[in-house]
Amino acid sequence: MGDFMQKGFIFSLDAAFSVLLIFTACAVFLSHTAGIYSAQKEEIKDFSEFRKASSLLNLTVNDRNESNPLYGSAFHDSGKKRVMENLIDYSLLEKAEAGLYLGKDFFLQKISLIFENSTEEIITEIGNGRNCFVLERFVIVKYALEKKKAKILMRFCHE
Amino acid sequence: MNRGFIFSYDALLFLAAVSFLVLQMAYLPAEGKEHFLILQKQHDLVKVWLMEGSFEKGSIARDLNFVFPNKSGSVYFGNEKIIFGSQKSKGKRASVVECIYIKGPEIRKLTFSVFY
Repeated sequence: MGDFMQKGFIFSLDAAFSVLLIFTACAVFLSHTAGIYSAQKEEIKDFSEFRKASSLLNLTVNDRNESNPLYGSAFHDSGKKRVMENLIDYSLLEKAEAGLYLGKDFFLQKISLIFENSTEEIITEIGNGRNCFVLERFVIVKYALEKKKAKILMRFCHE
Repeated sequence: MNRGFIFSYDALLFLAAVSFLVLQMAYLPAEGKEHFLILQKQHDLVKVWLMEGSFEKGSIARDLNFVFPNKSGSVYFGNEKIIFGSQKSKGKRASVVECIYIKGPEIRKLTFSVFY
């Protein structure tokens, strides 16, 4: 060590340039990694909310739950002894209530039906939100005496 | 081991550059949402048509335009061909194709594609 200090070390322009290049590459690398991390984090959050929202709508359309129509509003055919997917029991769906939280500040804001003649029927709606998105499914709505084709829409928002 | 090995600045730079490229390639943004939603609607349409029990051309065309108002695609059912939306696929993404066999008096194939 003493020997080294006495003799010093060779400081060439090449070495300085290389070190500068390495530091620059490291800085770019770290900044890029941070960018990827931040983008992925946001995307995972978005995807998680999308997954919860689409699962809820899927449940409403394909299942039946008489105590909570949000968890299933499909019609039960007693003759066939099964729940009819994509056939919505209007008498059950109309009891649904918006406001279900699927995350800390992420909730179901509105449920509506859009019919083939473009008329919209709001089933339930609550407050306002920001950064909303809408998911829709194609169904047949079964009323007491008739059936109508419609799109069922669920609007999800952040507080 | 006593002699060690030479690890030059060049090698270090090369490693940094390669890591940078690999990381860049590893980042693949999710593009599956729209594909999934289209596929879900295609299934809905097929379920509704099966529930109705009729594959009448006019009714199918109406449903397609109702569910996919801003998209284009086609449905082949037996010998019938139903086209909806603008068929200009230039600039559009690859279609989502659904193919099912429907059992009736005879087995018929239904091929359903949507451009997005």
